[in-house]
Amino acid sequence: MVYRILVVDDEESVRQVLARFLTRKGFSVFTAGDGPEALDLIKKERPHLMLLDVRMPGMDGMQVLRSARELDKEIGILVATAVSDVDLAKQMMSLGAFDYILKPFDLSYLETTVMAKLFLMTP
Amino acid sequence: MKQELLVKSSACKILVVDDETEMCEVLQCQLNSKNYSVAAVHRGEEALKKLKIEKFQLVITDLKMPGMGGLELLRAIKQVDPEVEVIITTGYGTVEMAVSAMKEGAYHFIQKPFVMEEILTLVEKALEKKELKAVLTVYESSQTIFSNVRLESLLPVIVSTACKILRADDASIMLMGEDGKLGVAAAYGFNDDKYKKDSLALGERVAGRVAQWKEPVLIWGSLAGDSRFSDVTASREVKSAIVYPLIVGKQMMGVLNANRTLRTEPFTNADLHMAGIFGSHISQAIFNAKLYHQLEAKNQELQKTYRQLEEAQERFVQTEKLAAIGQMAAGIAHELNNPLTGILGFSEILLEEAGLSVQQREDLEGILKQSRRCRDIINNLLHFARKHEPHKEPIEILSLLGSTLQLMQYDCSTSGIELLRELPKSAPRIFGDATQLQQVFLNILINARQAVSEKDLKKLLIRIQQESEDVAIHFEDNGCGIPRKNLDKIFDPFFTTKPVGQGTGLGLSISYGIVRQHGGKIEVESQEGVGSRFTIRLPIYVEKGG
Repeated sequence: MVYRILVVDDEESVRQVLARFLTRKGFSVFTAGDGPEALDLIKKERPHLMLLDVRMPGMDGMQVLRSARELDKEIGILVATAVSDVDLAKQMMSLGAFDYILKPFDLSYLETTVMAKLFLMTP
Repeated sequence: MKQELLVKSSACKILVVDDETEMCEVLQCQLNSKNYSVAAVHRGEEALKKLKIEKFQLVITDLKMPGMGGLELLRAIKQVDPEVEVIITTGYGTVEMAVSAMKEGAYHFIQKPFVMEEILTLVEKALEKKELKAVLTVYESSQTIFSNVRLESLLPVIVSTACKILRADDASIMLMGEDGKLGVAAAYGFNDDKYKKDSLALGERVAGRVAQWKEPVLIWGSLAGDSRFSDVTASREVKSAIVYPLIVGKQMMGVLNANRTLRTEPFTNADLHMAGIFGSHISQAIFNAKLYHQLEAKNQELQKTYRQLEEAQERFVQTEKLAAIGQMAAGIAHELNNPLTGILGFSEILLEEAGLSVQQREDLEGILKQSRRCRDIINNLLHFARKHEPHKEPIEILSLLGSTLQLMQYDCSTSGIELLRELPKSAPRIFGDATQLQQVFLNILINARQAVSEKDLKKLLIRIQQESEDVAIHFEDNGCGIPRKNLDKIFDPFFTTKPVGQGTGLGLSISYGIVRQHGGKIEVESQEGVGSRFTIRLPIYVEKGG
């Protein structure tokens, strides 16, 4: 089975690098540059995981997270942001994100945390 | 004013010397009628003897007498007491005689027979001149006195001048202290130092009473014989004393004591009068000196406040600078982290590519390594910029410093650095964020380690000292020191002298910010080639309600 991962980030280079990397690791990857696009893809593609940026024009990461949860109770949400804010991290975690990683991160770390989550999610 | 300066005639003693009894009687009678106190002798030798045991202001002597003549007597008198005025009378004077008499210091030379009016006027003028001369001395000494604006140099001048002017054997000045007691502030002519301990309350002993009464006293002979002081036990033998209160406006400043212990003749009313003139001058001089002192203290206080203001301004500028840079840094850091995610990510992806040459792999690892360095710098910046309230609590500074030093211990021993500690058994607690303070200590220690790296004998000394309101932690190294031109820059953000890649230049400015946030101070002293000392002062924790 191929896991589907949605990458949500307004920065194209971030979307590119994550798509390239995750594709190579054998995932099926979708990318969205803003919140509405992301929610559309969740509805259409039912991704297992979502990598979510926080600071984005229009809907911010927090709003996307809430709406995504309403659409899909199961989706695993990993927040990847440059915003190093303890309160924000706590809030996102309590709303259902399973991790909060700070940019720039090592891809190997990202891979580990993604794999771990998917392992836990597997029935 | 003139009237005031003049001594009442009754206080003036005149000695008449003439071998003719009639002459003596006439003069005695005339002068007595003018309220002068007059003694008469017939021979020069007799006159001299009398002058040695008794004080006279004026001598009227005949020129030609059997035995010691007038001129000879004049010379002898000027040796015994140069202040005595001498009028010479003669029945057959020549110009030469007159000239030589004046040269020897006679006040006047008068030919017999003289009109009584003439001699009375002369006597009056002679005494007036004498008095004016004394007053002149006071005024002259006043100039010296008023030119001394500092009490510590003024008071010795006052007491020595008092001895000279009043012809006293010793003199002292007692000033009213803040405790309301009179204490000896300066003395002249005393053999021992016992008097220095004297401290008198108002009304106590002679000086204390004079200060209380605000009236000068003149004492002849023993205190026992003086009804005002008969209950005071004399501390030593004094033949005569003047104690004069020093008053400016209504303010009692102290008293001037003048004593005759060796000279036989006691103080006269004229001396008391002189003491009055002198006293009013020195009161004013002391008052001025005190004002000057106050002014100086105020001035110093003002200068101190000014320095503090300057320091505060400097700190303010520094803090503002830090805040501005912090805000900017936070913005830039966020902007940089996204592209960095790309650089790091693409490098990692490429590294996983099969078929890379060794060189390509090395180059890629270089990109990765340098990108991670960028990330660390940015993280430091963000940390520096973040405005979070530190978690503060009472901290045992000794144990905090101890655990920090422990972190460094291994590192120091492997780098051959001697880590010396001069720590007290106990130190007061401070109030702060342990993690932040540890960061500061580490930062300074790491800098110190770097500073001593080139030395053969590497030493690092950590000392804790308790000060009145602070705990001071000194970090001393014998390293390369900081060039003078850099000393005022080392707390600036991004200032670094380390090679590129070895320091961000943020460590000390972060430390500065942390220490300031703790209400403390961080200071540096350094000498190039000798070493540096960083001192952190943190306020001692005072328990509320305790």
